[in-house]
Amino acid sequence: MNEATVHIRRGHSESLWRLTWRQFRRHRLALFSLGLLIVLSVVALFAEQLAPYDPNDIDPRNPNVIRGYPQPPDATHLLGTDDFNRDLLSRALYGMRLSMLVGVFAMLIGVSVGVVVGTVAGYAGGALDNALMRTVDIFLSVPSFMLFLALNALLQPGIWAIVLILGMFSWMEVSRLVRAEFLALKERDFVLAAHAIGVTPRQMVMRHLLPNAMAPIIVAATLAIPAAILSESALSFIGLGVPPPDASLGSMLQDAKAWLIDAWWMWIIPGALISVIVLAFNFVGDGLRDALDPTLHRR
Amino acid sequence: MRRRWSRRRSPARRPTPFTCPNTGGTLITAIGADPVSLNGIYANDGASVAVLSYVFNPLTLGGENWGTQITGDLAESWEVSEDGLTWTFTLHEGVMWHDGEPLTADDVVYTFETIQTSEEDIAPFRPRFLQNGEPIPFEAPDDYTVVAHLTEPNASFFTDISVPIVPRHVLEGQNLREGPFNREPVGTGPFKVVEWRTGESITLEAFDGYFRGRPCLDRIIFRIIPDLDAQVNALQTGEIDFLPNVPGAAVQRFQDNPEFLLTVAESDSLFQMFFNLQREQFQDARIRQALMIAIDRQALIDTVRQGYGVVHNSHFDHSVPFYQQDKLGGYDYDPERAGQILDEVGITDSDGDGIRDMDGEPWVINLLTFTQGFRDYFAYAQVVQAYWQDIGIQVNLETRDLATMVEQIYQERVWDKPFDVVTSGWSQIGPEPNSYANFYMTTDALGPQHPQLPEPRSERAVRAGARHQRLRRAHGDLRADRGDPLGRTADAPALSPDRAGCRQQPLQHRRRDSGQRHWHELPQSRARLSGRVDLSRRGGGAASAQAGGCAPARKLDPRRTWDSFIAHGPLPCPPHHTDGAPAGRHLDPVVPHRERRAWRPDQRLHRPQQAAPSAEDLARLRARLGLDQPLPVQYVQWLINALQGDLGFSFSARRPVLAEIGDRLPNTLLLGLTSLVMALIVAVPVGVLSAVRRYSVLDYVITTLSFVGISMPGFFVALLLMQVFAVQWRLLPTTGMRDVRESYQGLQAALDVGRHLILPATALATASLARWVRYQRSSVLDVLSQDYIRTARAKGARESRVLRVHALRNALIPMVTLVGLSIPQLVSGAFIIEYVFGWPGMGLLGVNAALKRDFPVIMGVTMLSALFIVMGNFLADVAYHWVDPRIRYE
Repeated sequence: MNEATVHIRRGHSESLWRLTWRQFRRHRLALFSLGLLIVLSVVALFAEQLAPYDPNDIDPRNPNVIRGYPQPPDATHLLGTDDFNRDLLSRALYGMRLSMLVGVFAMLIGVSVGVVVGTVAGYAGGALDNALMRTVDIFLSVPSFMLFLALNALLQPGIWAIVLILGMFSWMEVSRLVRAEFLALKERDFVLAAHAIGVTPRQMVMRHLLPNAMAPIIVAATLAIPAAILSESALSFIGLGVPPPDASLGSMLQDAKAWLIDAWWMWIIPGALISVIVLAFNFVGDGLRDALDPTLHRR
Repeated sequence: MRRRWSRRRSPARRPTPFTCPNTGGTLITAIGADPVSLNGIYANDGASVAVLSYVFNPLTLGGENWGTQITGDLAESWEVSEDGLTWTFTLHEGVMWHDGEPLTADDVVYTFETIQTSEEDIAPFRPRFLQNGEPIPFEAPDDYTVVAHLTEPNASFFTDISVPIVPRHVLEGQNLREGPFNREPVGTGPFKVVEWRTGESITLEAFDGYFRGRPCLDRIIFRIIPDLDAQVNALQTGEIDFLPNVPGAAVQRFQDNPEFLLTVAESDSLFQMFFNLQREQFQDARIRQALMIAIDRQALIDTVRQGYGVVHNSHFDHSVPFYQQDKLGGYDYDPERAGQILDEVGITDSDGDGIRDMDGEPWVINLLTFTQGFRDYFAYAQVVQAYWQDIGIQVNLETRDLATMVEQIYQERVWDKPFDVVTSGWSQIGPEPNSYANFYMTTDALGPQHPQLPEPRSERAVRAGARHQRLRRAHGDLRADRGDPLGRTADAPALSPDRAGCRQQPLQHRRRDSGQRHWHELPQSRARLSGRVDLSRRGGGAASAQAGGCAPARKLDPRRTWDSFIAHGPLPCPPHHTDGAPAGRHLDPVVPHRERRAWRPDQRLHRPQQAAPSAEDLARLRARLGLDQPLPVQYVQWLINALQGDLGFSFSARRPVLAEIGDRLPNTLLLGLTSLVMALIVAVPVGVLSAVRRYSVLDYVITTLSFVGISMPGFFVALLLMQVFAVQWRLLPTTGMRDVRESYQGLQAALDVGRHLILPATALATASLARWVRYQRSSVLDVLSQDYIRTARAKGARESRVLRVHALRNALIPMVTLVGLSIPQLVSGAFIIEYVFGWPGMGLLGVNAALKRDFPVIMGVTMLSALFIVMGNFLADVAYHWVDPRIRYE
């Protein structure tokens, strides 16, 4: 029967991914953003090689600097230094890496938890569904900042603690999404058919339901990264972000807070980078949404 | 035997009458948080002390929080018996309470006895009034005499009783914990509290009957602005007149500005490193000394505080009489020597990886510090880390938020605490050396001090309480052995002269009478500072090297600093002590306070040892707050109370949670609703436009703009908005809810709040606005592709009608969901926006409660937010029906 289907749809022999890619390419902004993200990721990956200085080198020992005051960009420090006389170019490179790392891993945690919870709730239904969705409500109802603080006290502060915290507070939407998708899919004929031929629950979820729910998950995952990056910057603002002396883009902005007028170079670069990265992820997400939406393909 | 300074004063001297050159005017200054309480007998946080030092008088000055001079205040004279056991104080006559009643010795005795017999709430000061566990008996033989009978001589008794005197006739019968006195105090001070708007401002008004004469100013207003940078902005725009502590980063803005007076003076804030002497690695004094000389402390001060600070070689503040900076050298920066010492004790790099090893393992030091909120401590730690890494030591920085720090380091009664080295500090301990004892006690496990260090000589001296001669000797021992003070801060208070009410005020200012004080050199005079700034702008090389470290420092006489401060312009009138007698710390911008920095702790981290609550007090407090019950029991109890409308009592604010929430909920709702409406008003039409003109230039512009809106960190948008519209263009106020200079009524008041609302609401709306535009656009697109739209068009309906009648209503349904979802955020508040703009809302309340582990408030806020989620869902359901009558509920 599968064979027959394939033959009938001979004209569409491309895989879903190729089809998506073809659609995605049409969204110029998204394509450009993807390219930019790849470039930035590579740059971030090689931060160690590219950075001209040690990003955390405070260097109060250097007698040639005016200690405590940021230096504007010049030949030795292309992007200037901050008030600790740390090289901002190096910090920006490392900070970008850290921010992207935090974003990606927080997304992975959030999406994994969300998919598992959503799958169980959507597939099992009934009391379990109810219990899980109320859990979601509870998580949504507690002001997130207070939860951050509570968790922060429990965990040993560090990058992974932040990743975990951000991940733990971004899964709710994904789980709702997956559950809704599952509820809709469960009513579809192909699922009924699968039931009829006795597919095991595991196979049902893995082969039939989850792949069909993939599109919204991918979009949500893409958008979860910039959200996590922004959340990390907010955490940095209250001093619970990436621990010192390491830089994230958010903590660099926080460092620049006292120097907003007197040292514009301290915030321009991290501010621009954070915006560009978040923007690019958003565009890619937008492009993916369009590309993965079957109703748009036909047009 | 008579104590050196407890001589009988010459016969009662009437305060010399003081004439104000100018009277009237209002001075506006800023504090970082609401005072915990204005009841002087237990308030001990920076904000409370800042306010109540204008409202109350203690019997004597010189105790913790009460100035840098040991002398009488309400006590006109005093006498100590030969055996040192009987202290007789004579009160000033004619002292009035703010309500017109006269102050009598009875009030003094009442205050002391209340502290002695009080419940746990007043425990912080209580141990000072006990001797060997027994309350010291006080009596009032007549209206103006107070007598204390000690069981053994106590050198620090005079400063121990430095606690504000409260009125018996007002307080008697009031519940100290919850009574109205906490917010509407009646004192004897030069100013009385007339208004306290939670989270906004506290207004003090001159008290005509002040016993030293009416103060020159009419009013002092304390604005509550949590963010230090926002305080600076408010000063710059003239919203406040005076800031006691301008951060080094902002000094440039006021330095050569004719509108401002800036003075640089020493403060009594010390910052310090503590080694955990329980750790074997630090028990060898040589190791500690090596670590100290590995740090260039002058460079540290330059880096962290832009040079506003002094290398400090003592554990005592410079106001302690025998403090002698000049005689305490040592610990100069010498990395080579440090390396040698470490080599000598066998901590060498044995495996050649560049890191020193101890017993074959790399030597790692865990350097603990506060989170970023405590900007300075956080920064010191980073510099220390850099220096130690220089001599080949691996240093791990660990950060903790305030509450965790207090729990693990300051309150936990265990010997071995989870740190190797911690950076911290304190201020306002005062000139009484005994008050410093607890920092160096080796037998108390409270605080990060050095437990059980075998140093009998210095410890015995400090412990004994007592004699200053012995302490003076011990002073040197302490420093030599411990060797960990880093420095003292100097602060740069700035004042906007035009606003201050009195001008050319010849403030009679007398520093301590002790000739022993050696003023040491401030590292930078103003002249040198400005030179520095110029250099920094040019980024000079060799020239700046000279400016950076080794320019000859000019010896600054503080009196001269102060004089030039006055000579150059007007000053707020001295509100207090106008007879030229002791300037309390509140008068003295030369002694500003670390507490006024952003995120300052609301509880003092370092309580004098004698002030540490005893275990029994703690147990009683726990029992009283119900914290001794198992959690489920506590929860059920809370639930029962909550159902009856009692949300409990805030631990930190000492008010009912309901009042705390009630003060802030309207503000939060106002801000939240405004931003919601703003976002909706813009998002719906723009989204529709963007959808209708799909793929046009307009669509691209809108799309791009909305994406940019999504992609900026909220706090940064807020900071930029404030910087541009409030600081640069001066179109709108920087912070707060109201213009405290004016008292508007009716419509004008509403307009005033509206003006203050614009920036925070815009900042808050930005993110949701951008998102909603996206949603609205796609929802309109979705609807436009429906068959009924095609039908409508086919029937020949005009496009505008198609849009208005057929499309829009359907396209609004998803928006309703979105708005419904954002309703809970209206109550939980936007912490960051509120913090930046000093908006007194729920977000600040919730986060501060979480930072202080104020569980009743946390529970209250959470419950409220949950309630609003349910309400949001309900409202959304109702709105669905309104938007789309097809949707019905059974």
